[in-house]
Amino acid sequence: MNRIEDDDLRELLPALRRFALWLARDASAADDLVQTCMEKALSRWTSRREEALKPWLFSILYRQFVDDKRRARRWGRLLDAFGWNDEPQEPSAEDTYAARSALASFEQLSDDQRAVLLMVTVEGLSYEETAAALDIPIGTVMSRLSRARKAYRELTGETAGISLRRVK
Amino acid sequence: MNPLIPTEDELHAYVDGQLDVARRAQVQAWLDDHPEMAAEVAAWRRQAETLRTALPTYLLPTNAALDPVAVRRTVRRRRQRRLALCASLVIAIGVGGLGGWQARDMSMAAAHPPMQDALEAYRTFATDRLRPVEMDASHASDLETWLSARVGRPMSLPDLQGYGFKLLGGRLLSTSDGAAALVMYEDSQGQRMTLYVRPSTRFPGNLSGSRQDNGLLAKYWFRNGYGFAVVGLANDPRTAQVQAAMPAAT
Repeated sequence: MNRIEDDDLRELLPALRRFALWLARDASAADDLVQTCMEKALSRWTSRREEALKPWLFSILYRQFVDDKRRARRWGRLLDAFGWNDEPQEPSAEDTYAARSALASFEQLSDDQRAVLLMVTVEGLSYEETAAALDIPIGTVMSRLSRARKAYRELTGETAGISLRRVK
Repeated sequence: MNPLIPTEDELHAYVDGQLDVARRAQVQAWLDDHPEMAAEVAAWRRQAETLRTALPTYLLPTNAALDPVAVRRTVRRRRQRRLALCASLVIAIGVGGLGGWQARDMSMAAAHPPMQDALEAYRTFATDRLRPVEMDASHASDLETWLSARVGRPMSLPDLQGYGFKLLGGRLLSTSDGAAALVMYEDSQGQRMTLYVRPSTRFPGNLSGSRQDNGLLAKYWFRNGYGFAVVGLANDPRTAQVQAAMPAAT
């Protein structure tokens, strides 16, 4: 029984890591995210309803990401309140990574928009699955998708596709 | 209104391949007639293509720690570590509590050494030249009866004439455990020795010992809920002799 679920999980691992990477924008943070997600998935395996594995895993990971962010923000506010937050908000490694990636524009989208766009276009989840994974109504998925596409287009212009192909 | 005009949602669904076949064909036909919208849709499609093709290039080297088997192991180890931590906390609290309790006993004992009141009684009354006792030895049997009745235990006053001490008299004292009797002896030079008897619940069993304290030597023992002490000058060899003979006599 363990072997079957392990194989299923293993198969989705690359997609999870990719999703996490594009949410967290930092390789080690992404893997931490995936690790926590896997732990939660394994401990909640039995309580999982009859839903597809992929959206279920994505929803765990996304919620973890949002929680982490909220916690980091709260912590940051606390540090700010005491005047200790001297470090730059964005580590320089991330900046160089973003610049190199040529997907910098994508990274400028909000977390919500990135999550929707990734789930729909890259991971191929249906709108229903995306709505379930993000725990939002399907109408919200559509409006976020629309805003994300327009914002992304504005940020990239028509040259994005060409320059990205060069990166490869 | 032409029902064939697709909504924006339908255009997204078209790009994402989430339209059924029939509607897909209609949208396709409509887009053929509307190049402006078709350009927009093509741009969305390029975006999706961009993301799809760009992302794999950033795929990380495999991370063995993320494999389900490894994650299971990590979770198990963490649980064991937590259990061990809990256990060590319980043990630490237990050891600390027990040790603290014993330390409390020890410090109590250090702060209140057994039969310290016998020594204090000696210092208070044996040095008193005018009225060291309440009842003198002229009626030795009355003294014995009185002390026995008040202390609640038959008291036989030992004869220490063989050591050069004769009975001077006795007095009652009060302690936190009840009435105590102080019996005093005196030699021809006026040097004194006392026998002190008090109820005692703090030291059960047959504890006994001796202690030297500021020039005084006390020997004490406990029997049947009472504590006994013989106190004399430490530099007088007769003190130890009397003390050695005493338990048998009481």
